[in-house]
Amino acid sequence: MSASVERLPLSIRGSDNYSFHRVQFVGLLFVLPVVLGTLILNVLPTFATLGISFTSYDMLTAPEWVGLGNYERLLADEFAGQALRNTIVYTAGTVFLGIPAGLGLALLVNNPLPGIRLIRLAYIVPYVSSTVAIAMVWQWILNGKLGLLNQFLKMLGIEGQSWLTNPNIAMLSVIVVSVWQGLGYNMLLFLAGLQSIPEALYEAAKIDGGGARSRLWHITLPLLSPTTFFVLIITLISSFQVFSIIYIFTFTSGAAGRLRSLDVWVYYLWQNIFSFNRAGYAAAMAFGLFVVIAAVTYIQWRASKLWVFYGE
Amino acid sequence: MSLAAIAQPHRKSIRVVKIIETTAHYIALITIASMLALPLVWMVSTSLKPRKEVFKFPPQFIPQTIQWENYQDAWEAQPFGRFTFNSFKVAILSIIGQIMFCSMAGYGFARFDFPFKNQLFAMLLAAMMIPGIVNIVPVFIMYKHLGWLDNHISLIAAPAIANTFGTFLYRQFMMTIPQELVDAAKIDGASAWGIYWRIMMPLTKPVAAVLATLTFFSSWNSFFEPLVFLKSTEQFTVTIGLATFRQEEGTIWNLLMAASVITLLPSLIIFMFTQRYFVRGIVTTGLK
Repeated sequence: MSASVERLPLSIRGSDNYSFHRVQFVGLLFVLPVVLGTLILNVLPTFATLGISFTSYDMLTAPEWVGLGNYERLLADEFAGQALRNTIVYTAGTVFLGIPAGLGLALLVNNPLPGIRLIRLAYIVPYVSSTVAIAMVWQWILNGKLGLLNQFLKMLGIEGQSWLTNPNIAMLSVIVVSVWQGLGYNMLLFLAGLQSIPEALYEAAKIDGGGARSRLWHITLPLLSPTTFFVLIITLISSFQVFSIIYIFTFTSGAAGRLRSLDVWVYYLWQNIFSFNRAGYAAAMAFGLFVVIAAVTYIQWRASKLWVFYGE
Repeated sequence: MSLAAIAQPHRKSIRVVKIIETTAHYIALITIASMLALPLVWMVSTSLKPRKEVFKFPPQFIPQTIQWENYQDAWEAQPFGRFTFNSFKVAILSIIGQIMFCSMAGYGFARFDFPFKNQLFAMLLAAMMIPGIVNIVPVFIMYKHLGWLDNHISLIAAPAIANTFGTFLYRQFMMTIPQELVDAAKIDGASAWGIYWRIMMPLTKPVAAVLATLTFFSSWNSFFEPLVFLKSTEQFTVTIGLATFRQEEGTIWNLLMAASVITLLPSLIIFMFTQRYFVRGIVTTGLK
């Protein structure tokens, strides 16, 4: 049977299948490594995280069942509350500064000027640079005593700030550095969105006498909404997980002078595992993070169907 | 008055406006570029200064005396040669593993029918949303039992084999390869593996280039995983090496900046050569 099918003219078969039964399982063999790898390294551990979150566990002795104990404790933990607030502030900062800045920059570079490709590339350099190295130089620039920023301000006769040790502005400094680093990435995404808008629409608007501002409001922004939506999701998801820059910035002041105002969710999670030996508690924090990320993805995905204009 | 006479001055003023606009545009672009570049320029500048020049007021971007020895001092204070080697090793092995496994899986999902295919693919898509940090506790315990802690395999395994994004990219691309090519190979007696190896792999080189580039940067710059999984100095990657340099040598700014440049330089050189694929990769993730 199988052999006769093989001999049929190829167009009649119509399917992508290599042949029937035997070879279909070959397909399974091809996907097996990634499927198993994802299952073992990604999917099952998420269930394990949930399981561990119901225990008191120091990763040395056997875990002990505590039911919802970790979650109850999490709700009462003032440091966790602080970490959550800081993460929200950081996220809000990267969304409300980073997205408009990326869009503005994309509008600026969406122009076939000579040399524009090189300029665009220059804008991406901070994004491809290691956050750790970036954090080092920014620490130096923002240094309260002799940093470049305060030196500049001094030349202008303005009193400098302790940008990284003043609890009221440290987070703002972190946000500015993150926005600076991610600007090129947001620009690239918006640029791709801008370039997918058909030129004919702008021509038509010009004939109808629409000014530049009206074209921006009535053509560019609505047609760009899928991109804006995507950038928003990416920004939210990566901001919830901010870690490296916080790690480098908080280390400055040493353990004693460490700033609580920079403790974010993942940093506190990491501390719980490796400094406080509370892996069960950390697992509860991790699962909380998972639920929030999954929820954001889902809500935005549903909402996008309502307000995002996908064009034709 | 003729029509041409009316149009003439108007056209001229349009040209003047155009020149002013273009100039303003360039000024804006270059101002922003220098603002973005300033921290990196300051990093290089400080890294070349002798210690007594570092704190000089007013700040100077071009050092009076250029002290190249800072690089040697930084390079010797911590084993940066070792760190650089490790980072390259981890990145390259992640790339090789990923291209191998993701292309196979992409091929399987794109060109075959098998039981539970859609369910398995849906699982991969769902897994794409789970950040690694969520799984850090069980994965750490698993690696501990496997003896993978303080071993580079802990940094390579996930990007190489649990890589849903790469699989997705390969699948999308392989679905567009014309069936006629596959059929012709079948007539020549090619096996499923032969088709994969001799048709799919050569035709998906652009995917491989994009994936390799993106993976290089995410691997080179990754910090959380090496921080959690590595312990001994000789296993460290550049990012952890730099953080350790900071901890052990303190804020000797000129040396710390030299160490930062050492960490950045290889990746920025690679960026110069791969920027085309990098940009394409970012744009591909942006447009679904």
